[in-house]
Amino acid sequence: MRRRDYLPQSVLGNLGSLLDAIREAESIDADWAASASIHFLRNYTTEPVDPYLRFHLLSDDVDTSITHGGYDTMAQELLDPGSNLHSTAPDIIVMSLLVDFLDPRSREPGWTADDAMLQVEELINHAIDRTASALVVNTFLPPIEDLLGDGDSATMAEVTRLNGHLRSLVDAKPGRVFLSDFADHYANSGAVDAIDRRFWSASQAPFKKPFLLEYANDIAYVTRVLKGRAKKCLVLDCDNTIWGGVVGEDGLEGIELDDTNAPGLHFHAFQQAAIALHDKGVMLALCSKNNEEDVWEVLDRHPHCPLSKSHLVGWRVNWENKAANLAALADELNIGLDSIVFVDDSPQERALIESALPEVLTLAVPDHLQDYSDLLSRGRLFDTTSHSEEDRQRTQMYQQETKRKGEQRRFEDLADYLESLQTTMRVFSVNDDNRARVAQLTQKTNQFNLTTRRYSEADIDRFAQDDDSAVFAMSVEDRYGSMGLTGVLIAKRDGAKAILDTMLLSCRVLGRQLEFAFVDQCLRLLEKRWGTLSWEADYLRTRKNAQVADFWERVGFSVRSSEDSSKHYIADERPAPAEYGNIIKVELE
Amino acid sequence: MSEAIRLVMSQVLQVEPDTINAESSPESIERWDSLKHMQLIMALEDELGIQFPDDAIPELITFGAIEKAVEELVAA
Repeated sequence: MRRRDYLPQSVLGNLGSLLDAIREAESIDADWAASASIHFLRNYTTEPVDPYLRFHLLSDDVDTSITHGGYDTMAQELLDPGSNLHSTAPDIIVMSLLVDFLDPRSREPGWTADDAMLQVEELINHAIDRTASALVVNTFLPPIEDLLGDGDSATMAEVTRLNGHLRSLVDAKPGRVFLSDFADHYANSGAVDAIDRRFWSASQAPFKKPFLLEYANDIAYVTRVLKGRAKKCLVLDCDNTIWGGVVGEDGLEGIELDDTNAPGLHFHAFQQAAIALHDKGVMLALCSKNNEEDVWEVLDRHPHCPLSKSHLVGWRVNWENKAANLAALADELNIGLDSIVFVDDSPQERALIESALPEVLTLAVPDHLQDYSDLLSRGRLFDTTSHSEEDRQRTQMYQQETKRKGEQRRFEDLADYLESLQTTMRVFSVNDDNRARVAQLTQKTNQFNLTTRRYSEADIDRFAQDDDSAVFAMSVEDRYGSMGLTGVLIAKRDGAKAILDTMLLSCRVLGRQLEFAFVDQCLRLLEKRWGTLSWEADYLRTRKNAQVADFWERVGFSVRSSEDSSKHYIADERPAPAEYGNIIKVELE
Repeated sequence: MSEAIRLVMSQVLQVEPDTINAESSPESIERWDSLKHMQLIMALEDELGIQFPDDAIPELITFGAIEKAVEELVAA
């Protein structure tokens, strides 16, 4: 059984069963897809969120360790290099704060938020400057006693001002600092189901399950994004999924998609939710059993159909097996099956996908259609942290990729094809404009990644400043357009030796000799910069990077030592991979 | 009812249900600290669909006391 099977949504109803299910799921002996460490810097009792956070991350196959710091010792932990925080060096710091303790005067009349604003700013700055962790902060609620009794409007206004300042601090560090909106969670849970007066007064643990679930969701989302576990592609069935009825039988006029009447309006709202994800960089595709022309007729000609062909990166509309179709789609889009969410109304089709392709997350159209438009936002599955230009252009780039593949069939000889692409590769050192993208690639790239070392923006910046490190990036352009920044190589200097710490390429530029050209150019640059005389490199095996197991051999390295899960390489002269000059034009910074 | 309480205690405190007796308390069950106590109360409320009053919670520190409080709540 998979971990996810021990953790159906129903166990959330009952804390005892949830704790049991978590223990069962954790005891399964299998490869974890990723591991994550999370440390809470807090000024109240945050432990009750743990089971809900574990629930989410176990479902994602992420092995998680969660620790909570001392009460109200946020600054000390950040400032003391010997603290637990620094010795664990967590992937994520959750700074979990209540204004009640941050500034106890907040419970008195006439309070102003100035001091709290200063404190929060200092804490966030310390966390950014002194750790390499991603940071999750929360908006402030009014003092809990105010929520339980009568709030004071002047206090409320100050809390709003404090939150405004907090948001500006978060916005200044996209990809590094993330926000969990407590005010939102409080509103969504409903006042009665958000705060438990009993545990607040006895244990300083104010939050009830509905609130904790939303908070856990936010933290799990950040973890998914950092660990490359967030979903990238939404694949939809058509009949009774993106419209009501069966277009092949009911015809264009007979299907339900009218946004003014139920049930059509629910399908209409669902399509809009899917398009909203598309606008945030999520890929959309169709996989359905229909006549293709029927589907295009709805998308092109139905007066109430928001979805159009331009939203789609791919489709399999035919009468073949859906599991095979989904696998082919994943292949075409160069993404793992575990990046896919599939929505279908048919229990038979869902059962087929669940058994044939368990990595795909399969969702049902809910029985109550009024819940349908929330299906995709619940659980924050998709990666929507579009902080780089590349993300926004992703759909366009995948569409270009499809065009390129069409071209491939017309060329008998691969070399002719590669030459005809007129590829230009630019190699340059990381800088302020592309640091976010470089860090993002180290966090997201799983397949063409030799060591799978995940780095934050702060890490990349540190390497860039250090004379004994070098961070090179590659961007690629061809006759169909730009594919953006799609390769990273990080090297460390040890005397006359250069150690290749990280080498990765985005999957969409593979199969064009670019990996060899990029390494070759980086090695030449390093040799010039450092006077390097010998070279070292590693391959660290993961579940996903088998395709690069012999990459360093192919570049020209020799194996020095080899274990089950890793290989160490050396070269006494600069390795020179096969000639690529006729297919790739190189531009250096 | 007692069986349900035993089950929840075993889930939260990780003890075998049949080792729990009326005197089982934080003294005899190592994991039963203040955080686990909070989880235990929440889990019992989830399972039994009840809500313990404010002042009762700190007193519910033996199996016997929990059993009695639950019986009173269910009867009321």
